[in-house]
Amino acid sequence: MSDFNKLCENFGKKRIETVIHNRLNPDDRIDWWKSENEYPFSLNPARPFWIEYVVKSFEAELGFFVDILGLIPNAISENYAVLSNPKNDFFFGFWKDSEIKRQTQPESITIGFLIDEIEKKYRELEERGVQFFHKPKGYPKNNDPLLVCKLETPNKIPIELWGMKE
Amino acid sequence: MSELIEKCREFGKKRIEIAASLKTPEDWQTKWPANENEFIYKLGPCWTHMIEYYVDDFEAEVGFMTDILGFDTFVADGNMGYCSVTNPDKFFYFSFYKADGKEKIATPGNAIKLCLMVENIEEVTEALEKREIEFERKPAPDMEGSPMLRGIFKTPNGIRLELWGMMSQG
Repeated sequence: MSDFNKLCENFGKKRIETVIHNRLNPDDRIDWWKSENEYPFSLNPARPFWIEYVVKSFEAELGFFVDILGLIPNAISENYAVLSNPKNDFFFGFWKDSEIKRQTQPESITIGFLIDEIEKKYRELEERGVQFFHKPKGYPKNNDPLLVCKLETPNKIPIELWGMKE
Repeated sequence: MSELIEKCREFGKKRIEIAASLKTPEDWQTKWPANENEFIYKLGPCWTHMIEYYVDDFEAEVGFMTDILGFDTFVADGNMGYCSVTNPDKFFYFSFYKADGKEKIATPGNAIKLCLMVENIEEVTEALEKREIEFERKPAPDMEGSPMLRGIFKTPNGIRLELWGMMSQG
């Protein structure tokens, strides 16, 4: 392990130990959040952040997000797309796989959204032909008010929808 | 699902063909077809969206995101081996779990990229280098003469973080 990774590990270890071993009261927590280094980024509003993954069936992934889920393309070409919602709250992109960009294994990532009216949206998406692994169910216990349901993109990237019981 | 995938493929194919024919911003305004289905989700309130990945060295990733990069901690759960970080304005949420080798396999370094478009990219790069971050690629244009710079560094678990930004004037 490099010196730098060791440094990161020590920082992380200290934080995890603090969380696990100390019951922090809210005032202490404010101090705990303080980073050893300040946040240095001023983000560009045109596209402040995004993640990228790689898919085999690029066309199906694009059609799924744009014409089934209703997202808006922020950038698009024959092998790359970045999508967002109409209010630009989030951005994510995907590449068509190639010799240098290998397909992202579906178990590698999960994309999550916290939404209002989850049960209604679940029904609307089912009407669009989206198949879910299960209906919205309580988390962590079945009768809890926080609900989650899961679906996957045509390239099997998991998507979780979270929301409060109506 | 296979019928839906076929439908998605047809939608996507059509859009890629149309995109290739659009040359100007006006073309995009007038010729880009409306979505077949509208966006129906109201996001929030306590978080909006997040991407999750899986790491072997959980502690190093926590320290890197919080104490080196300076991201705010949104959730830190040592028992679950879960951490979620965000920026002070809460535009984005990056989350990671400790891999367990069974249900949660460590995400390979080349599976995803986390990307930020920042202002003052040269200053940011200098600040990050002072924090001992080694850039795999220092911010540089992809094409000769382009003012858009792109730099890459990795988290302790090899996940690539890409910085984009405009070259400063003068």
